[in-house]
Amino acid sequence: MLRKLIKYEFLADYKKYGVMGIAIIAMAILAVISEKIAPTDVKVYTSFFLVVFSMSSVFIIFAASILLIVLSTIRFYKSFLKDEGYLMHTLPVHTWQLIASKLITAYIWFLFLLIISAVYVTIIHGNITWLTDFYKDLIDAGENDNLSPLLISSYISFLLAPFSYLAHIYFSFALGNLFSKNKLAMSVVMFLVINFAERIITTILLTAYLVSIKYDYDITLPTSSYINTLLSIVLSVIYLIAAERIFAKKLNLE
Amino acid sequence: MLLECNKLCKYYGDKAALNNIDLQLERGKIIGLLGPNGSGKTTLIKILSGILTPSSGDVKISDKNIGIETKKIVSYLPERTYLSDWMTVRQTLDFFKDFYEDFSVETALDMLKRLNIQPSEKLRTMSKGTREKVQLILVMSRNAELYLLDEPIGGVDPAARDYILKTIISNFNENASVLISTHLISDVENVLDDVIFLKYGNITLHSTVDDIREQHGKSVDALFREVFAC
Repeated sequence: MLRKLIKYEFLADYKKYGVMGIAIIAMAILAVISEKIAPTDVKVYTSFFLVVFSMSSVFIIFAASILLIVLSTIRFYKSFLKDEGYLMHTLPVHTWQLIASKLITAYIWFLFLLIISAVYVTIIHGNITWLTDFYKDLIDAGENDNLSPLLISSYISFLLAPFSYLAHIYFSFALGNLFSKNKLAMSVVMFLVINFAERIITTILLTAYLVSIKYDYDITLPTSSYINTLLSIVLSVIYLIAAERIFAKKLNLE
Repeated sequence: MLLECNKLCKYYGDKAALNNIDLQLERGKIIGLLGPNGSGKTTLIKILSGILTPSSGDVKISDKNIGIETKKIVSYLPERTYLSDWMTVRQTLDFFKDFYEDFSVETALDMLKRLNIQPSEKLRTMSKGTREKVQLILVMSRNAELYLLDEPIGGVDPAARDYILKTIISNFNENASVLISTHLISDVENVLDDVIFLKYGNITLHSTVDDIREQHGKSVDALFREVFAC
C-alpha cells in the first residue's frame, strides 16, 4: 500500500517539479548561449550576465528549497486536513503509511532539485571542476581536526533538513487538529511554539554539556556540532511518532 | 448485526453533537438518517467512516472497531468533493481499484457511460454536480457491507436523482446496508426501508417506513415536517 500511496503522491506533483527543473536548466543554457553568440564588443555585457547567473547558483538552490517546502506543506495540508482528507483517511491504510508516503516523496523531490541545481552550476561553469574543487575542500577540511566534525555535521544537517522540517510541520498540523476551532491558525501557533521549545531544549543541553567539559575549545566545537545534529534527528523522530499517534487516535476532520 | 453504537457521544467544545446514541442496524436495509441542520447526521456518519473520533462510547461495524478493517468494508460518500482535481475520471477508477479490493471497474464504467461522463475527462474541468456524480459512482461501485451516503442527491439535478437512487437500490447486495443522510425526504422516501430521526444529537425515532405509514397514517416527509416544525 505504501508504494501505491507514493505513486499517487508523485502523480499529484510531478508536473510542478518538472516545470521547475526545466525552467532552472533552461535559464542556465540561455545564459551560456547568450555569452557564446554575443559579438566581441558586447561580450562584456553578456559576461556580466553570466557572472550574475553564476552568483545566482546559490539563489537557485535556495529558491528551489523554499518551493519544495511550500509545495510539500500545501500538499500535506490539502490532502490530510482539507477535502481530500475525506478520501485519504478513509482508505484502508495505516496512518504511518500516509505520513511516510508524503515524507518519502518530498525527500525524493528534494534530491531531484539538488541534482537539478548541480546541473545548473555545471552548465554555468562549463565544466565539472566545481564538484572536484568541492570534494577537495571537503578532504582538506577533513584533515583539520576541528573543522572536520563541523563540516560533516553541516552536510548531514543539510541532507536531513527536509526530513526535520516536514516532521516539524506534520507535528504542528497534528497539534492544530486537536483544537476545536481555528485549526490552521492553531497549527501555525504550534509551529512557532515547537520551534521555540526546540531552541530552549537545544540551548539547555548544549550549555549543560559545555559546563561539564569546562569550555574546552578543542572538545567543544566538534562534539557540540555532533550533539546538535543528533538532537535534531531525535526530535524529528519524536515529532513524526507523535504526529502519527495524534492523527491515528484523535483525527477530527471538520 | 451490521452496526452497533453504544452510548456514543461527540462534543465540540461544550456542545454535544451526539448525545448517548444507541443504535443497531441490520443488514440488507436502506436507512434514511433524517434531521434538521445541526442535528448530528454528518457527525454520526463521519464517526462511522473513521474521520472523526468520538468523545466517548463504542462503535462496531461487523463486530470490528473503527479502523483499517472497517474501512475495507465501509464505502463513504461525504457531502463535499474529495477527489484531487489533477486526476482524470479514469485515474480515479485506478485509484479506487488500487486501494479497495471490492471495487469493480466494469460497474463504474457502465454507470459513467449511462450518465454520459467520459473517463478521459479531467475533474478540474467538470461542474460540481458532475464531480458529485463521479464520486457517487465510485462509492457505489464497491461491493461494500455498509454504504454511508451524506447528502448524495443534494447537488444534482432532479433527472439525475432518479438515476442515482436507482443506482443505490440496484448496487448493494442483501448482505449490505445503506445509510443515507438527506434533506430531500420526499425524493428518497420510496426507496427507504427504515428511518432514523435525529434531533439535537438524540435519536427521537427509529422505525420502519411501513410502521410510520401504518401507525401515524402519514408519509415520512409529512411526519418529519410535523416533528421538526419550527
